[in-house]
Amino acid sequence: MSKNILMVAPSFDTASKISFEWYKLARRALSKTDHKITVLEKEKATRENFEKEIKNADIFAFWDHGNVDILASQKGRDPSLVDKENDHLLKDKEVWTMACLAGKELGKDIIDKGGNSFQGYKMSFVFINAPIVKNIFGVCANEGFLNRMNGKSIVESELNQRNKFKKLIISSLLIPGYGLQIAILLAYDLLGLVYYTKDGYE
Amino acid sequence: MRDYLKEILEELEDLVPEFGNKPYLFVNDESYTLKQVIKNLKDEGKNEIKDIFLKGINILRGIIDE
Repeated sequence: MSKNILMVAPSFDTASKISFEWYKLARRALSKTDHKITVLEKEKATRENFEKEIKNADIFAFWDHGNVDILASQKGRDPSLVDKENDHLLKDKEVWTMACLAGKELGKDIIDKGGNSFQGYKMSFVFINAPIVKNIFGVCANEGFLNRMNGKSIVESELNQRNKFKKLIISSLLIPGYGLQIAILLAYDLLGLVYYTKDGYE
Repeated sequence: MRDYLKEILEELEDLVPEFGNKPYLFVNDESYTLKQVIKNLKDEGKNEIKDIFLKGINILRGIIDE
């Protein structure tokens, strides 16, 4: 079934330039679907534009920095894109993000205010900047969202994302020169992965 | 039992000629050069980087055991 998707990806420092590449991976994957997609990239990733566009979306996906209580805009935290002042706009919507830490407080607040679901991380989403391997982290980060966009349920998407993490953790051990660090850091990211729904977040 | 911390240090030190002083590890909105990562891992005290790797190693052990 076709959904209205809002994809937001600021890009203003080295880390967010990398997460922007992961956004582009997801964007390319969605080009094969019939979802109606609205994108707010880089300078367009503002709080004002988010608040305008989210009204028409069923699903909100975000790639960039976060913290316990915010998702960053192109201007960072001042002002942020989403915080506890405007997260009521996510009522009845699904939220998918690789942002650090937002699962700790903001994700729960979104559910408390009627959000349909929140997939994110309660700890930092850590990754390395080695050219030939950095997208492995993005593949894991995108997996749940892309499963969902391809018609899987949220429960199935979570299961498939956790399995993707585990498969890549094991297979990355074989990557010469980088394998162990990738496996360990992906394992840390998996530890922080959370799926919250209206059924709860414990 | 495998000493993952020792192995990871060996792996990271091999990458110093290529990545030593460049932003390498990203944690929230902080970045650490490879040399900083190695220094933090060698530090006897508790720090954020070492904690990340130790937690990751624990999870990795569990996945390998599955």
